Amino acid sequence: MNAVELVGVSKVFLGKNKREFRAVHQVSLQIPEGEFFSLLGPSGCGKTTILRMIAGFELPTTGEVYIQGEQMRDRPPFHRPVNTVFQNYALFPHLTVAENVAFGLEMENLPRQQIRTRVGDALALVRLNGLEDRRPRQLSGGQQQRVALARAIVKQPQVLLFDEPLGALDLKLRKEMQLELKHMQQQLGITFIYVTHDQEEALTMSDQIAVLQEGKVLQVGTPTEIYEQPNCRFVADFIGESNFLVGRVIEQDSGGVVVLVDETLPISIPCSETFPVGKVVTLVIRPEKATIHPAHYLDQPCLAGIVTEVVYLGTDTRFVIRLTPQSTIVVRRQNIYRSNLDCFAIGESVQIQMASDSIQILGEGQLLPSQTFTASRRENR
Amino acid sequence: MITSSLEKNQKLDRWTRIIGQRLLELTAILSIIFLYLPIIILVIYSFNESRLNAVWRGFTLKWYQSLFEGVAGQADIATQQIWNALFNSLWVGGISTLAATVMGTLIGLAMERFRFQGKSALEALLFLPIIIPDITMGISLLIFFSLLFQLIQTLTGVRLVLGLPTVIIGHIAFNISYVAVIVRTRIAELDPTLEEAALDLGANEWRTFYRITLPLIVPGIISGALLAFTLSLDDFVITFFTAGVGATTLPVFIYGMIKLSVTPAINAISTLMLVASLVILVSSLALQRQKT
Repeated sequence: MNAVELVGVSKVFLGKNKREFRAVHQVSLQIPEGEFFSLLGPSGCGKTTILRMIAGFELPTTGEVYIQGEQMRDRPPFHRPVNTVFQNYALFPHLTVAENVAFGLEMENLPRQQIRTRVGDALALVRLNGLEDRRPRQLSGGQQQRVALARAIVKQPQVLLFDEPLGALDLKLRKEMQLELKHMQQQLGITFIYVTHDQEEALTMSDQIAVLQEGKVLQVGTPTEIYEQPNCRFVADFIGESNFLVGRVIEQDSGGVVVLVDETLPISIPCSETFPVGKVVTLVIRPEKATIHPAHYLDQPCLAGIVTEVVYLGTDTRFVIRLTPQSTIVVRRQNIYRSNLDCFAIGESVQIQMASDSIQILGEGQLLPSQTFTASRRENR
Repeated sequence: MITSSLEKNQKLDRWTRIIGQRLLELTAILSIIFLYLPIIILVIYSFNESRLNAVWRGFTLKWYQSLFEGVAGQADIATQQIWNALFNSLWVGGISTLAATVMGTLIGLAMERFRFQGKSALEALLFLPIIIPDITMGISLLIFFSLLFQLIQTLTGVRLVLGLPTVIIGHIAFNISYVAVIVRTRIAELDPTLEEAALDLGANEWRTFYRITLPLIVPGIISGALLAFTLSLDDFVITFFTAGVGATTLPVFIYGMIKLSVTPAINAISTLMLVASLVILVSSLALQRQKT
């Protein structure tokens, strides 16, 4: 059974001047039980609205939310088997840590003794014993975050919702908490639905990721699927770094296609999908999947270009290589040795080698009119 | 040569700065004296032996004593009347504060938490009692009551007259605005996700209000109530128009007495009220400052 299922959910807000704003559009998602599921997208993509509809703070304009197979339309937040960890933690400032955590259990009218044990257990789980009598404002950001987590976990919900819970923490603490959350989820076995705009965070923690843009789900898949087989340009662009080369299919056979980029550069790619000759497609190449060699280093046919930019980044070096007058490609090379940092200079001719299956073809793309066949690229991330 | 002229300049600068500072201090002190001297004189004369306010005849506590004899019912008629007026004032203040606090809090909540038709109009109307002159409010209330009473008399034959109940209604009318405005600022500072968190943790709307919202806005409510109470105790104009015969509050009574003769007992009771107001004011400010 799915822990949470959304069926054709849309949300339209009425803004000022009665202007309609469509925050979420026709979203259908199945979130299996016990999974760490992330909703990933840029700000304003509707991910938080989806979370709020699951929690019950917003009602879908159309469509239905099911939690454990039950329809939730008429269920207020306090009757839903989910709990939320809020972005700003939303700890009750007039209550102590222990009272904050106990609040949800008191609402269930549990016996006092049981509340005390469960609060103790929850605080132990987030390693906050000894701070029971502090007020939220006497805690650090990381500690507040843990209290918010304990307050939600102590309710033993079927589903835990997270609204960018680590956004306010510094990088190091955030990385720590990511792993801790992941371990906690595996240990407790509850479904986590996690809203974030940080693609790295989503890749680190999730079993499945749904990528959203402008209220629509673009792709749902495991981190590997999302990264290695993005189904559209936005996903490829949003998650990690990608090179995009736009071209026209000029040959097609059972083994693959030949794509002509910028009318001058033919690239042959093995693929099982069929693209009709003449179709405009986009090639997606991850910078780390290409290797760079001196000119004439390889006998086999491969891409050739001229280095136009070299950026040393510590763990790796980033080369921008011009393939055609209109298109460049970014290649990253890990700095395995300490000495060969500058073995390619600007202006040097190089060869680029790629495993033949590391190029992804997207059946979308737009050739720019007339002379500028500029394949757009991402040079600055 | 150059250094000495520079030193001279610096010296001059220092002197102008010091003189400027002194002048500023002097102005501040003078304004404070201007504001508070009359009050200080009032307090001093409440300890005056003489029956007349003009002359100082030595220190006494007899006016305070006579006030407290008034409580025991042993004082002269005038003192007795002062006490009656004070009790009227406290009664009017208490009831109107209670009613205005409840209604003002609810309005403040509605204004801050909900969207409804005519909200901006209500917002403007809410400020009206604060900004319109008391005299306008007093007259309009008087006309309203006399029309209402006429209507009731023609419909039911019951004849109603002005009295303490009408004063209380009048005071509620202007106090609601003050309470609503103060409570509203407090609610505006309140993070709405706190209420969502409570709902999320299984509290229904009522328990959320009772356990989370209310405790967090209580300082605002109390400080609104204290302000309402002092305003009510203090009010003369609106009370004067809505009181009718026999429903005399302290300010109205004192006004009446001045025309005849002022017993220094008035000074004494004013001093006591001053002290009470100060206590209320300070605690109201302290509550407003208290952080959530």
